[in-house]
Amino acid sequence: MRYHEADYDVVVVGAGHAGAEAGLAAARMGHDVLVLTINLDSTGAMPCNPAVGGPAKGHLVREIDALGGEMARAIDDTYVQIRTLNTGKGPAVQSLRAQADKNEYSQRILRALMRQPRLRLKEAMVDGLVVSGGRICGITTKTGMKYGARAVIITAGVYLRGRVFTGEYGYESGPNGLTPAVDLSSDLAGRNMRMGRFMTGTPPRIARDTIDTSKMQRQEGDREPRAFSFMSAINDPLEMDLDAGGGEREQLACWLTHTSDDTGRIVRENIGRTPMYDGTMESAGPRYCPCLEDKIMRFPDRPSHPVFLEPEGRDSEEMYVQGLSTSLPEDVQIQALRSIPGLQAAEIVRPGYGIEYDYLDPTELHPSLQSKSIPGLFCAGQINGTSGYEEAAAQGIMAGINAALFLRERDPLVLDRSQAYIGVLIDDLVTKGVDEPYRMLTSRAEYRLLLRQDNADFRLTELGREVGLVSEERYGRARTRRSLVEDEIERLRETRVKCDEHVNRHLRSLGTSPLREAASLARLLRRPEVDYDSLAEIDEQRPDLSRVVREAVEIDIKYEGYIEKQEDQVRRYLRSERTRIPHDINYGEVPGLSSEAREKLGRVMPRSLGQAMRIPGVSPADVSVLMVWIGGNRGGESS
Amino acid sequence: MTPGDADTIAAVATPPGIGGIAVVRVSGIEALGVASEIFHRSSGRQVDVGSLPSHTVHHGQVVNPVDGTPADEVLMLVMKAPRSYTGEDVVEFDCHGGPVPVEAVVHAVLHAGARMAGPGEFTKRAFLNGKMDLSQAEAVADVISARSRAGARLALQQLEGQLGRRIRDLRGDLLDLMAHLEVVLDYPEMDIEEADRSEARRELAGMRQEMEELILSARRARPYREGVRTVIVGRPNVGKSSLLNGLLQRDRAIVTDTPGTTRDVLEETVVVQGIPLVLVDTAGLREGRDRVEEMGVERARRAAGEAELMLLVFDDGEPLNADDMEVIETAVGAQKRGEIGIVAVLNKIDLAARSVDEDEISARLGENAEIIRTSALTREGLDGLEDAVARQVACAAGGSVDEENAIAASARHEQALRSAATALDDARSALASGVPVDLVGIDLRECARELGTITGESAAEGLLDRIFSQFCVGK
Repeated sequence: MRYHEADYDVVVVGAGHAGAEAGLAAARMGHDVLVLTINLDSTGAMPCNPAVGGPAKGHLVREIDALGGEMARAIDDTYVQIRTLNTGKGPAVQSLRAQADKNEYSQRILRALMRQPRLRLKEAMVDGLVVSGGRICGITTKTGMKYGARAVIITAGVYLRGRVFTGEYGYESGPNGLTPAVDLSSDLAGRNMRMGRFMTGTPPRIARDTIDTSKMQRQEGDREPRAFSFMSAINDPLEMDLDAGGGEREQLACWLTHTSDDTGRIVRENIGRTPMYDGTMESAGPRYCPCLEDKIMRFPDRPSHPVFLEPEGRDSEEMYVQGLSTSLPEDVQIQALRSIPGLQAAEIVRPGYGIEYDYLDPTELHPSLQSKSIPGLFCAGQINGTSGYEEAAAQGIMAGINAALFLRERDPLVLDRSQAYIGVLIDDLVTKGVDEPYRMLTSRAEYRLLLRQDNADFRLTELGREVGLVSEERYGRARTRRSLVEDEIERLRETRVKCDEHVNRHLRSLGTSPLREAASLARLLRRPEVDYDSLAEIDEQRPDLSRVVREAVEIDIKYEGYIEKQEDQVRRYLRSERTRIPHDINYGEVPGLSSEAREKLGRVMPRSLGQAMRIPGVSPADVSVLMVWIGGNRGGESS
Repeated sequence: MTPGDADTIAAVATPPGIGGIAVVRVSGIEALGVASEIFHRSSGRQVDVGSLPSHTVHHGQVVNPVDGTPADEVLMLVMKAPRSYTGEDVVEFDCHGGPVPVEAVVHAVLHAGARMAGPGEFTKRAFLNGKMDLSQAEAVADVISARSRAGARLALQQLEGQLGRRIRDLRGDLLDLMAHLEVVLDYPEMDIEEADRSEARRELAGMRQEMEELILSARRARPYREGVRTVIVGRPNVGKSSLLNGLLQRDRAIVTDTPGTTRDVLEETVVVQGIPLVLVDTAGLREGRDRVEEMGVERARRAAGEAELMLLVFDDGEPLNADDMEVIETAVGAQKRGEIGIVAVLNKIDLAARSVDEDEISARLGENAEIIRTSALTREGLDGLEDAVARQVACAAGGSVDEENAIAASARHEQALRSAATALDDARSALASGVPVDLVGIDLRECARELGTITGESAAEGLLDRIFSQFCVGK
């Protein structure tokens, strides 16, 4: 017998990056939420790298924020270093990356959850789902409790049947020595959900006072720090002071060094001592984030690999060794580390390890992240085969929103590939499934020039408001910024500069050709040598505008041609996306499909012809068959 | 019609005309039943064809199931689903090639419950049953409608994937380059050397060259693949009909029935030096002299609007009159609209009086038009006319028609290649003018997408595979 303690609208299993966003979103949308975690002290934990953001990942953080999520504000409050990456590249790939104080960050998330009205955070090991009449109606815990719920969101991370390896030594465990969740995994598998096994790893942590930074390259944060959240002072469209957001906060440095020839030799000599190479481990690890073993074995021609030393926190004595993720035995880790310039005397305080875990095949889920087989059950985060805090949080907020919409019997919020990186991420997951842990990359986004980090609020804040997650203040900011940007673009298009000596002298000083006839400021701004600020001299009526307005104006005008191209591509994409496939279609009845396509289509259940086209194993011929069938046999409905 | 319709279709699978063997093909779920009803072993016994193993050949007779009359002695091939051309049950009857036995076998098949196949229906079924991909299906459609032997050979090359291979290689090179350009965008902290922009431009220039060759090949193959729409114009009584008959009566001339169409839209094709000329509005020319007289200049102008080749016919026995001049103006108008081959035929040279002033024609039509003197009646000058026609077609197709090296490409492929080339040009000029790499990527991706529409591959996954296999990235 279980003790039936209470009923909630939503129970969230897990309080990592996905669980926190999911719980906060559902509670902020007005539902009673219970969030359960194996260990309260691990709420919002960063068991791997102490960093948030980077290309595509930083974009995700911005999008979560634009929808009313927590991650951006939490990292803004707790970073120890922040930088804009790809500043020399185009607008599509510029992104923020922050070094986190991982304890501060975790505490910051813990407080947000504990102080959130309508949300209760508790410690518990969930051991099973309660399903009745085919629908989810609660969960049970190891300590004999039962909680009723109309929706359940599982955000179990890498805890499902987790197994940790350091060399020959392997044991059942979650990250950081926490208890793995074994029963929940069996419960899911017992409900005929397809599960798979992945592996990932983390590098050793070393004592700060054992590194010799004189042999390394120092990497500083930005002098004029930016912020992730649209709600931070510096991103206020009316804020003129560039130091408004944390300019006085002291930033910590990171350090860059490289592996040596010896490192490669040490790894090669001991390669048989890692479970990944001795044949006992069969699960797939990520290609985009190879462990040291993979780097050495797969790229033997590379003389060295970069290694970054990152502080784990402002007061922490531990350094994270980015680039050295490994499951080699501890003695080999020590030797390999000491072969690296600046680390000759390094002492490991926590050895690196590999971790193997169960994930759920994400093609089991609708694009709303709701289970196809159990209504009311949602899954988000690493359990869906992704990797990374940002990817987890992005799914978390969508699962929270869609659980709330499910309770209200409203259509789910599904972002498409032209709206958000979040849309690309979830569409990839539920359409293609995963064969390695999925990391977000800008090259996965076909329309990335439209999905910039600077315009996430324009893309998503309205949607966040419609579902009731965005505050009036946030919505007001987005609207103010948009109207300032639009007015300024209009003004630059209308304002013509005369072709006179003053103007031409200025243009020549910018290294661009002089005018032969009057031209609009917008036209001048399109020249590669010219930027918005450099036109001030010949722009007499220029209003005083904040940086977040000026930058948006510049991008919109400068890259207008490419933006139009992408918008054309989006129109083409949306055409096939709008050809709906009847949800009751029986692929067994559609003649002419290959048997592989029939199986894949039946599993994924694409909503549209466009989605069907993206399923691996469905050929263009299969899509044509489907097109004929929908058009001729069933009468295609469009929306 | 939806795929998998219950009906069983039949058609003569070999070209009409004289040939030793003709093949009557039956496909569909009743194909085996149809065959059981009409096929008799040499001993006279009927067999249940459904019980015969797949891919076997049987000797016997086709007998009409209605009146019991023998149709022909045949070899019967049984191919069961899905291991057949269409993916359905297929039975083929190899019978004698004359029109009488073929017709008798077809009648027997139809009486037993099959229906006559529509144009391209076998291929459509094969495609819908997943037996061939889109570009193969298009190639088969080309084989079916190939209007000459050279066209058929081109279509076969495509079927074997030559085009596919060249485009896949091209696309692979492009994705490699994209991976190189893009990897630094997603991994700015790794010390990967950025792709050198001028080196990238050089590589793109090479790809553009290959694309140009593919486009040119496609263009050169077009006359063979689709035929050259040809119109014969001239004022009444200059000998248009006799010229047409003169061309048709030469042994290389064939008259084809477009598959599945009815008699009244019959298109006549004259094969001239391997190039099929599809004669437009020959009905008007062939319906006897009276109709020809009625064919006014207005009608000629309309026909000329669709034409790729015009044969202007004049009576060499008389000087050019006002009607002749209008014919010439029709051609001048067509020249303005696009590339068109023009041959002025000065006919009736057997009547001795060379009265037409060639210079007057040249002055109006320019140097590219050719002038040929013939006698349709005595067939004098017809060889010269054919040479001129071949030269004009080559000229309009981009310099030459190279039937050996041309790569068959459908109109869709040609269009996709052109769009890909445009995107590639955009990327090259963007690289040259210092546009950031993430924006150049938009054009390169578009180029890869267009090429992928030919080979049926999508851009995203190929690119990531390349990034991960070639670069050591990540933490």
